[in-house]
Amino acid sequence: MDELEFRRRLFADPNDKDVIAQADTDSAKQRLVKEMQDFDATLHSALDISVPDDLVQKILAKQQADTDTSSKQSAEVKQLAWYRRFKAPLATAASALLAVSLYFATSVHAPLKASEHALQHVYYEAEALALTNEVQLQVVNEKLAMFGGKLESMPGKVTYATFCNFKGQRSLHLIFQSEHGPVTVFIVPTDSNDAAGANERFADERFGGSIKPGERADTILVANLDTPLEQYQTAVNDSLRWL
Amino acid sequence: MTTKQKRYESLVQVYNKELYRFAYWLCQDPTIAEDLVQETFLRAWRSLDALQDDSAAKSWLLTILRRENARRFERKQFDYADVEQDTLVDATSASPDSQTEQMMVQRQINLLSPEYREPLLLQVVMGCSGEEIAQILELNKNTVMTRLYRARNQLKEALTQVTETAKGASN
Repeated sequence: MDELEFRRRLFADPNDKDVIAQADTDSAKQRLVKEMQDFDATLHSALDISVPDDLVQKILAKQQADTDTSSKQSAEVKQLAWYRRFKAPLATAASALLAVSLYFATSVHAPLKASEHALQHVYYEAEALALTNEVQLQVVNEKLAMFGGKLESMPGKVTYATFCNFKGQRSLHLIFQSEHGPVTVFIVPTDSNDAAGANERFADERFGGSIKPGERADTILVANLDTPLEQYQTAVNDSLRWL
Repeated sequence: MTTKQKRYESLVQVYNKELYRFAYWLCQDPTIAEDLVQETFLRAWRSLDALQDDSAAKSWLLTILRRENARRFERKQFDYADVEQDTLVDATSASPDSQTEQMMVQRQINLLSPEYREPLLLQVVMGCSGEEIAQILELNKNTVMTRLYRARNQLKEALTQVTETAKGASN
Protein backbone atom coordinates (compact mmCIF):
# COMPACT_ATOMS: atom_id res chain seq x y z
CA MET A 1 0.00 0.00 0.00
CA ASP A 2 1.64 3.29 -1.05
CA GLU A 3 1.26 6.65 0.77
CA LEU A 4 -1.62 7.80 -1.37
CA GLU A 5 -3.52 4.55 -1.10
CA PHE A 6 -2.94 4.56 2.67
CA ARG A 7 -4.32 8.06 2.97
CA ARG A 8 -7.33 7.38 0.76
CA ARG A 9 -8.30 4.27 2.65
CA LEU A 10 -7.75 5.84 6.04
CA PHE A 11 -9.93 8.83 5.13
CA ALA A 12 -12.61 6.52 3.76
CA ASP A 13 -12.67 4.47 6.95
CA PRO A 14 -10.47 5.42 9.92
CA ASN A 15 -11.28 2.09 11.56
CA ASP A 16 -10.20 -0.09 8.64
CA LYS A 17 -8.08 -2.80 10.32
CA ASP A 18 -5.83 -3.40 7.28
CA VAL A 19 -4.97 0.26 7.13
CA ILE A 20 -4.29 0.54 10.84
CA ALA A 21 -2.01 -2.51 10.60
CA GLN A 22 -0.02 -0.72 7.89
CA ALA A 23 0.80 2.08 10.32
CA ASP A 24 2.33 -0.31 12.83
CA THR A 25 5.95 0.49 12.11
CA ASP A 26 5.62 4.02 10.88
CA SER A 27 5.18 6.79 13.44
CA ALA A 28 4.08 9.38 10.86
CA LYS A 29 1.33 7.04 9.71
CA GLN A 30 0.38 6.30 13.29
CA ARG A 31 -0.05 10.00 13.92
CA LEU A 32 -2.33 10.31 10.92
CA VAL A 33 -4.38 7.31 12.09
CA LYS A 34 -4.76 8.91 15.50
CA GLU A 35 -5.67 12.25 13.93
CA MET A 36 -8.37 10.71 11.74
CA GLN A 37 -9.81 8.67 14.57
CA ASP A 38 -10.01 11.79 16.72
CA PHE A 39 -11.62 13.61 13.83
CA ASP A 40 -14.23 10.87 13.56
CA ALA A 41 -14.94 11.13 17.28
CA THR A 42 -15.58 14.85 16.72
CA LEU A 43 -17.94 14.09 13.81
CA HIS A 44 -19.70 11.48 15.87
CA SER A 45 -20.35 13.78 18.79
CA ALA A 46 -21.47 16.63 16.52
CA LEU A 47 -24.06 14.35 14.91
CA ASP A 48 -25.17 12.80 18.16
CA ILE A 49 -28.29 14.92 18.71
CA SER A 50 -30.85 14.02 21.35
CA VAL A 51 -33.78 11.81 20.39
CA PRO A 52 -37.36 12.62 21.56
CA ASP A 53 -38.12 10.68 24.75
CA ASP A 54 -41.45 9.34 23.59
CA LEU A 55 -40.31 8.18 20.15
CA VAL A 56 -40.52 4.46 20.98
CA GLN A 57 -44.01 4.82 22.48
CA LYS A 58 -45.20 6.74 19.44
CA ILE A 59 -43.83 4.12 17.05
CA LEU A 60 -45.45 1.29 18.98
CA ALA A 61 -48.75 3.16 19.33
CA LYS A 62 -48.87 3.72 15.59
CA GLN A 63 -48.18 0.05 14.93
CA GLN A 64 -50.83 -0.98 17.46
CA ALA A 65 -53.41 1.27 15.84
CA ASP A 66 -52.51 -0.20 12.47
CA THR A 67 -52.87 -3.75 13.77
CA ASP A 68 -56.29 -2.93 15.22
CA THR A 69 -57.62 -1.42 12.01
CA SER A 70 -56.31 -4.20 9.81
CA SER A 71 -57.87 -6.97 11.94
CA LYS A 72 -61.14 -5.02 11.98
CA GLN A 73 -60.97 -4.63 8.25
CA SER A 74 -60.47 -8.31 7.59
CA ALA A 75 -63.58 -9.07 9.68
CA GLU A 76 -65.62 -6.61 7.68
CA VAL A 77 -64.24 -7.56 4.35
CA LYS A 78 -66.94 -10.10 3.51
CA GLN A 79 -69.86 -7.79 4.15
CA LEU A 80 -68.23 -4.96 2.29
CA ALA A 81 -66.94 -6.92 -0.66
CA TRP A 82 -69.94 -6.42 -2.96
CA TYR A 83 -70.15 -2.74 -2.13
CA ARG A 84 -66.45 -2.16 -2.64
CA ARG A 85 -66.62 -3.48 -6.14
CA PHE A 86 -68.82 -0.52 -7.05
CA LYS A 87 -67.15 1.98 -4.82
CA ALA A 88 -63.92 2.36 -6.79
CA PRO A 89 -65.41 3.30 -10.19
CA LEU A 90 -67.99 5.50 -8.51
CA ALA A 91 -65.33 7.27 -6.51
CA THR A 92 -63.28 7.81 -9.63
CA ALA A 93 -66.25 9.21 -11.50
CA ALA A 94 -67.16 11.40 -8.55
CA SER A 95 -63.68 12.79 -8.19
CA ALA A 96 -63.45 13.47 -11.90
CA LEU A 97 -66.75 15.32 -11.70
CA LEU A 98 -65.53 17.24 -8.67
CA ALA A 99 -62.31 18.19 -10.43
CA VAL A 100 -64.19 19.43 -13.47
CA SER A 101 -66.72 21.37 -11.45
CA LEU A 102 -64.02 22.89 -9.25
CA TYR A 103 -62.14 23.95 -12.34
CA PHE A 104 -65.17 25.75 -13.71
CA ALA A 105 -66.22 27.09 -10.36
CA THR A 106 -62.83 28.62 -9.62
CA SER A 107 -61.49 29.65 -12.98
CA VAL A 108 -64.48 30.79 -14.97
CA HIS A 109 -67.62 31.63 -13.10
CA ALA A 110 -67.05 32.61 -9.50
CA PRO A 111 -63.57 33.51 -8.30
CA LEU A 112 -63.02 32.40 -4.74
CA LYS A 113 -64.07 35.17 -2.38
CA ALA A 114 -61.54 36.57 0.06
CA SER A 115 -63.56 35.26 2.99
CA GLU A 116 -63.69 31.75 1.59
CA HIS A 117 -60.03 31.84 0.79
CA ALA A 118 -59.21 33.03 4.30
CA LEU A 119 -61.15 30.16 5.88
CA GLN A 120 -59.67 27.60 3.53
CA HIS A 121 -56.23 28.95 4.19
CA VAL A 122 -56.67 28.67 7.96
CA TYR A 123 -57.93 25.09 7.65
CA TYR A 124 -55.08 24.25 5.34
CA GLU A 125 -52.52 25.44 7.86
CA ALA A 126 -54.50 24.31 10.90
CA GLU A 127 -51.37 22.82 12.45
CA ALA A 128 -49.87 26.27 12.72
CA LEU A 129 -52.66 27.24 15.17
CA ALA A 130 -51.18 24.87 17.73
CA LEU A 131 -47.72 26.41 17.70
CA THR A 132 -46.64 27.94 20.99
CA ASN A 133 -43.15 29.34 20.50
CA GLU A 134 -43.09 33.10 20.43
CA VAL A 135 -42.09 34.93 17.27
CA GLN A 136 -40.57 38.28 18.25
CA LEU A 137 -42.34 41.38 16.99
CA GLN A 138 -39.03 42.41 15.46
CA VAL A 139 -39.09 39.31 13.26
CA VAL A 140 -42.66 40.10 12.23
CA ASN A 141 -41.65 43.65 11.39
CA GLU A 142 -38.67 42.53 9.34
CA LYS A 143 -41.15 40.71 7.13
CA LEU A 144 -43.72 43.48 7.19
CA ALA A 145 -41.03 45.98 6.18
CA MET A 146 -41.07 44.36 2.75
CA PHE A 147 -44.53 45.84 2.28
CA GLY A 148 -43.46 49.13 3.89
CA GLY A 149 -45.37 48.46 7.08
CA LYS A 150 -44.69 48.15 10.77
CA LEU A 151 -46.66 46.93 13.78
CA GLU A 152 -46.29 48.90 17.01
CA SER A 153 -47.63 46.02 19.04
CA MET A 154 -49.81 42.97 18.81
CA PRO A 155 -52.79 42.13 21.03
CA GLY A 156 -51.21 38.81 22.00
CA LYS A 157 -48.14 36.59 21.73
CA VAL A 158 -47.28 36.01 18.06
CA THR A 159 -46.64 32.34 17.36
CA TYR A 160 -46.55 32.24 13.58
CA ALA A 161 -45.30 34.65 10.95
CA THR A 162 -44.75 33.71 7.38
CA PHE A 163 -45.21 35.10 3.92
CA CYS A 164 -48.00 33.43 2.07
CA ASN A 165 -49.90 33.54 -1.11
CA PHE A 166 -53.32 35.08 -0.52
CA LYS A 167 -55.30 34.72 -3.71
CA GLY A 168 -52.14 35.27 -5.68
CA GLN A 169 -51.07 38.26 -3.62
CA ARG A 170 -47.92 37.98 -1.53
CA SER A 171 -49.12 38.59 2.00
CA LEU A 172 -48.15 38.21 5.60
CA HIS A 173 -49.79 35.41 7.58
CA LEU A 174 -49.64 35.88 11.36
CA ILE A 175 -51.10 34.02 14.30
CA PHE A 176 -51.31 35.51 17.76
CA GLN A 177 -52.68 33.96 20.93
CA SER A 178 -55.69 35.73 22.41
CA GLU A 179 -57.71 34.90 25.54
CA HIS A 180 -60.15 33.23 23.19
CA GLY A 181 -57.59 31.11 21.40
CA PRO A 182 -55.39 31.64 18.36
CA VAL A 183 -56.29 34.47 15.99
CA THR A 184 -55.05 34.38 12.42
CA VAL A 185 -54.25 37.69 10.76
CA PHE A 186 -53.65 38.14 7.04
CA ILE A 187 -52.14 41.42 5.98
CA VAL A 188 -52.81 41.65 2.27
CA PRO A 189 -51.27 44.61 0.42
CA THR A 190 -53.89 46.32 -1.73
CA ASP A 191 -51.89 47.13 -4.81
CA SER A 192 -53.48 44.02 -6.25
CA ASN A 193 -56.40 44.56 -8.60
CA ASP A 194 -58.38 42.03 -6.64
CA ALA A 195 -58.88 43.87 -3.36
CA ALA A 196 -61.17 42.52 -0.70
CA GLY A 197 -63.81 45.22 -1.11
CA ALA A 198 -66.05 46.42 1.71
CA ASN A 199 -66.00 45.65 5.42
CA GLU A 200 -67.19 42.15 5.73
CA ARG A 201 -67.99 39.55 8.38
CA PHE A 202 -68.08 35.87 7.62
CA ALA A 203 -68.20 32.60 9.48
CA ASP A 204 -68.58 28.86 9.16
CA GLU A 205 -69.37 26.30 11.86
CA ARG A 206 -65.95 26.67 13.48
CA PHE A 207 -64.40 30.03 12.68
CA GLY A 208 -65.56 33.58 12.36
CA GLY A 209 -63.74 36.20 10.38
CA SER A 210 -63.71 39.85 9.50
CA ILE A 211 -62.21 41.83 6.67
CA LYS A 212 -61.25 45.46 6.94
CA PRO A 213 -60.06 47.10 3.76
CA GLY A 214 -57.23 49.58 4.20
CA GLU A 215 -55.46 52.09 2.03
CA ARG A 216 -52.23 50.17 1.91
CA ALA A 217 -53.39 46.74 2.97
CA ASP A 218 -56.50 44.84 3.92
CA THR A 219 -56.45 43.07 7.24
CA ILE A 220 -58.34 39.84 7.54
CA LEU A 221 -58.85 38.12 10.88
CA VAL A 222 -60.01 34.57 11.44
CA ALA A 223 -60.60 33.09 14.90
CA ASN A 224 -62.80 30.79 16.94
CA LEU A 225 -66.48 31.74 16.80
CA ASP A 226 -66.74 33.34 20.25
CA THR A 227 -63.79 35.68 19.71
CA PRO A 228 -64.55 39.43 19.84
CA LEU A 229 -63.05 40.06 16.43
CA GLU A 230 -63.87 43.79 16.22
CA GLN A 231 -61.79 44.50 19.27
CA TYR A 232 -58.78 42.66 17.82
CA GLN A 233 -59.31 44.07 14.36
CA THR A 234 -59.20 47.59 15.77
CA ALA A 235 -56.15 46.79 17.87
CA VAL A 236 -54.26 45.38 14.89
CA ASN A 237 -55.28 48.19 12.53
CA ASP A 238 -54.44 50.89 15.08
CA SER A 239 -50.96 49.58 15.64
CA LEU A 240 -50.24 49.16 11.94
CA ARG A 241 -48.04 51.97 10.61
CA TRP A 242 -47.07 52.58 7.01
CA LEU A 243 -43.90 54.28 5.85
CA MET B 1 -47.29 -11.27 23.01
CA THR B 2 -46.84 -12.85 19.59
CA THR B 3 -43.40 -13.73 18.24
CA LYS B 4 -43.90 -11.20 15.47
CA GLN B 5 -44.70 -8.48 17.99
CA LYS B 6 -41.62 -9.33 20.07
CA ARG B 7 -39.40 -9.32 17.03
CA TYR B 8 -40.81 -5.96 15.97
CA GLU B 9 -40.36 -4.36 19.37
CA SER B 10 -36.77 -5.43 19.59
CA LEU B 11 -36.10 -3.90 16.16
CA VAL B 12 -37.67 -0.65 17.36
CA GLN B 13 -35.59 -0.67 20.55
CA VAL B 14 -32.33 -1.35 18.73
CA TYR B 15 -32.69 1.04 15.80
CA ASN B 16 -35.03 3.93 16.73
CA LYS B 17 -32.34 6.31 17.97
CA GLU B 18 -29.87 5.78 15.15
CA LEU B 19 -32.61 6.03 12.54
CA TYR B 20 -33.93 9.24 14.06
CA ARG B 21 -30.48 10.80 13.99
CA PHE B 22 -29.90 9.69 10.43
CA ALA B 23 -33.33 11.02 9.39
CA TYR B 24 -32.68 14.30 11.18
CA TRP B 25 -29.43 14.93 9.36
CA LEU B 26 -30.98 13.85 6.10
CA CYS B 27 -33.86 16.33 6.23
CA GLN B 28 -32.61 18.71 8.97
CA ASP B 29 -36.02 19.07 10.57
CA PRO B 30 -36.97 17.37 13.86
CA THR B 31 -40.67 17.04 13.00
CA ILE B 32 -40.08 15.55 9.58
CA ALA B 33 -37.41 13.28 11.04
CA GLU B 34 -39.87 11.95 13.59
CA ASP B 35 -42.55 11.38 10.95
CA LEU B 36 -40.04 9.59 8.74
CA VAL B 37 -38.98 7.24 11.51
CA GLN B 38 -42.57 6.47 12.54
CA GLU B 39 -43.59 5.84 8.94
CA THR B 40 -40.52 3.67 8.38
CA PHE B 41 -41.31 1.45 11.35
CA LEU B 42 -44.96 1.24 10.37
CA ARG B 43 -44.02 0.00 6.91
CA ALA B 44 -41.49 -2.34 8.47
CA TRP B 45 -44.25 -3.80 10.64
CA ARG B 46 -46.53 -4.32 7.67
CA SER B 47 -43.90 -6.24 5.74
CA LEU B 48 -41.95 -7.75 8.61
CA ASP B 49 -42.37 -11.23 7.15
CA ALA B 50 -40.29 -10.15 4.18
CA LEU B 51 -37.29 -9.65 6.44
CA GLN B 52 -35.86 -13.13 6.73
CA ASP B 53 -32.50 -12.41 8.25
CA ASP B 54 -32.35 -10.02 11.21
CA SER B 55 -28.73 -9.22 10.49
CA ALA B 56 -29.98 -7.42 7.37
CA ALA B 57 -32.47 -5.40 9.41
CA LYS B 58 -30.45 -2.20 9.51
CA SER B 59 -29.98 -1.99 5.73
CA TRP B 60 -33.60 -2.94 5.24
CA LEU B 61 -34.88 -0.20 7.56
CA LEU B 62 -32.57 2.36 5.97
CA THR B 63 -33.82 1.44 2.52
CA ILE B 64 -37.40 1.98 3.67
CA LEU B 65 -36.52 5.28 5.30
CA ARG B 66 -34.73 6.60 2.23
CA ARG B 67 -37.68 5.63 0.07
CA GLU B 68 -40.05 7.42 2.44
CA ASN B 69 -37.87 10.49 2.31
CA ALA B 70 -37.87 10.45 -1.49
CA ARG B 71 -41.66 10.09 -1.46
CA ARG B 72 -41.85 13.31 0.51
CA PHE B 73 -40.60 15.23 -2.53
CA GLU B 74 -42.94 13.46 -4.91
CA ARG B 75 -46.03 14.40 -2.96
CA LYS B 76 -47.66 17.44 -4.43
CA GLN B 77 -47.51 20.35 -2.07
CA PHE B 78 -50.38 22.79 -1.88
CA ASP B 79 -48.64 26.03 -2.62
CA TYR B 80 -49.87 28.27 0.18
CA ALA B 81 -46.76 29.00 2.18
CA ASP B 82 -43.76 30.66 0.68
CA VAL B 83 -41.00 28.22 1.47
CA GLU B 84 -38.03 30.49 0.93
CA GLN B 85 -39.22 32.85 3.63
CA ASP B 86 -40.45 30.30 6.13
CA THR B 87 -38.74 30.95 9.42
CA LEU B 88 -40.76 28.89 11.87
CA VAL B 89 -37.71 27.15 13.22
CA ASP B 90 -34.80 29.43 13.59
CA ALA B 91 -32.12 27.23 15.09
CA THR B 92 -29.09 28.82 13.48
CA SER B 93 -29.48 32.41 14.56
CA ALA B 94 -27.14 31.99 17.53
CA SER B 95 -24.57 34.70 18.06
CA PRO B 96 -21.02 34.07 16.81
CA ASP B 97 -19.91 33.72 20.44
CA SER B 98 -22.02 30.65 21.02
CA GLN B 99 -20.88 29.01 17.82
CA THR B 100 -19.19 26.12 19.41
CA GLU B 101 -16.97 23.70 17.59
CA GLN B 102 -19.87 21.29 17.33
CA MET B 103 -22.02 23.79 15.52
CA MET B 104 -19.21 24.52 13.12
CA VAL B 105 -18.82 20.85 12.42
CA GLN B 106 -22.58 20.41 11.94
CA ARG B 107 -22.64 23.36 9.60
CA GLN B 108 -19.85 22.00 7.48
CA ILE B 109 -21.48 18.57 7.31
CA ASN B 110 -24.68 20.22 6.10
CA LEU B 111 -22.70 22.06 3.46
CA LEU B 112 -21.37 18.83 1.96
CA SER B 113 -23.15 17.86 -1.23
CA PRO B 114 -25.73 15.10 -0.62
CA GLU B 115 -23.72 12.51 -2.54
CA TYR B 116 -20.88 12.90 -0.03
CA ARG B 117 -22.98 13.61 3.02
CA GLU B 118 -25.23 10.59 2.84
CA PRO B 119 -22.54 7.88 2.80
CA LEU B 120 -20.77 9.70 5.62
CA LEU B 121 -23.95 9.77 7.71
CA LEU B 122 -24.53 6.10 7.04
CA GLN B 123 -21.02 5.31 8.20
CA VAL B 124 -20.73 7.61 11.21
CA VAL B 125 -24.32 7.70 12.50
CA MET B 126 -25.52 4.26 11.46
CA GLY B 127 -22.20 2.42 11.72
CA CYS B 128 -22.67 0.88 8.27
CA SER B 129 -19.81 -0.89 6.52
CA GLY B 130 -18.71 0.03 3.01
CA GLU B 131 -20.59 -2.97 1.63
CA GLU B 132 -23.79 -2.02 3.44
CA ILE B 133 -23.59 1.57 2.22
CA ALA B 134 -23.01 0.34 -1.33
CA GLN B 135 -26.08 -1.86 -1.07
CA ILE B 136 -28.32 0.84 0.42
CA LEU B 137 -27.27 3.54 -2.02
CA GLU B 138 -27.12 1.10 -4.95
CA LEU B 139 -23.57 2.08 -5.82
CA ASN B 140 -20.46 -0.03 -6.16
CA LYS B 141 -18.19 -0.20 -3.16
CA ASN B 142 -15.28 1.65 -4.80
CA THR B 143 -17.52 4.61 -5.52
CA VAL B 144 -18.69 4.61 -1.91
CA MET B 145 -15.13 4.53 -0.56
CA THR B 146 -14.10 7.38 -2.88
CA ARG B 147 -17.04 9.48 -1.72
CA LEU B 148 -16.24 8.79 1.92
CA TYR B 149 -12.64 9.82 1.34
CA ARG B 150 -13.72 13.04 -0.38
CA ALA B 151 -16.30 13.79 2.30
CA ARG B 152 -13.71 13.66 5.11
CA ASN B 153 -11.14 15.44 3.02
CA GLN B 154 -13.50 18.34 2.27
CA LEU B 155 -14.66 18.52 5.87
CA LYS B 156 -11.13 18.62 7.21
CA GLU B 157 -10.12 21.35 4.80
CA ALA B 158 -13.21 23.42 5.47
CA LEU B 159 -12.86 23.10 9.24
CA THR B 160 -9.18 23.99 9.15
CA GLN B 161 -10.05 27.11 7.19
CA VAL B 162 -12.87 28.09 9.52
CA THR B 163 -10.72 27.60 12.61
CA GLU B 164 -7.90 29.67 11.13
CA THR B 165 -10.27 32.46 10.18
CA ALA B 166 -11.69 32.42 13.69
CA LYS B 167 -8.20 32.57 15.18
CA GLY B 168 -7.28 35.39 12.82
CA ALA B 169 -10.39 37.30 13.81
CA SER B 170 -9.74 36.97 17.53
CA ASN B 171 -6.15 38.16 17.25
